[in-house]
Amino acid sequence: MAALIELIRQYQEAPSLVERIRASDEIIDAVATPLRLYITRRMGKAWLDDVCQETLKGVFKGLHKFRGDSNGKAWGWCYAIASNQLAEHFRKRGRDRLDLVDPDEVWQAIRAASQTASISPDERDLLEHAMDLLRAAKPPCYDYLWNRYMLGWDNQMIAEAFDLNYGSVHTIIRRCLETARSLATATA
Amino acid sequence: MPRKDIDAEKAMEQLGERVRRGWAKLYPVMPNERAEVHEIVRQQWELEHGPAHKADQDKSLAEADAKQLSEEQKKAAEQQKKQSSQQGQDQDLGHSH
Repeated sequence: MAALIELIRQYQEAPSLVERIRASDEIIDAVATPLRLYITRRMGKAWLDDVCQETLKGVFKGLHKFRGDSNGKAWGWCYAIASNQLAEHFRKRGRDRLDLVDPDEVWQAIRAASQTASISPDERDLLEHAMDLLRAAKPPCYDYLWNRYMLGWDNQMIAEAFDLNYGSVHTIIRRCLETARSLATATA
Repeated sequence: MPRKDIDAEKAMEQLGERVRRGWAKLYPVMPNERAEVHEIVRQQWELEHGPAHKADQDKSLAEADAKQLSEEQKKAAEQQKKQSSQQGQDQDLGHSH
């Protein structure tokens, strides 16, 4: 799939409405899952679908005005819209109790992904190891790891979102992994 | 239990890749959600392109209407002239009778 910034350019420069609708479908396919994963981590389930849909609509309401020139800015802009929708939701309905994402739900996703690609024993070990680490991680490490690995954020995005020094992100993530490993080993 | 011989970063990357793929299957964008987005795209397109196109279309329609009206008026005038002339001739003929 093309980079998000390319898809946005195609959308903005579409010569006809039909072309623009087609470009919008490609953008939906690119952003819907990462945005849902982002929102899932930040709110309860009751209104999750609504906030996800409002976020998607918010992206398209403002897409003609987006003037960013990099993929990072395009993603940052989409996540900012998700963040605003979450803030709006909390303002209207109050803040939900925040739990870590249910590990069973994560396994369910792994199984759903495995319907097309089976899991070898080695890969299962690897995934179980990663699940143990994620389960053991505590905030804010949990959020750094979730955003870095589940959402696929790069160091720049993490630095900006969590107000961290860009140069220290790599070290922070490595330390979070080490801490999670220690905690997982201690509880095993 | 976490194993020391497993590369944690590689394991997390693999988990993330699986989770994203699985999440897309578990929670696909529904046709009605896509349709709502399409409606926004259509409205936005009309905001960007609609008024200019509509003004052009209205101008063309007005010009066409005016042209048609002028032709109809011209035709009506000619018809009236013809009828008047015919009536004059009839009257002349009547006088001649």
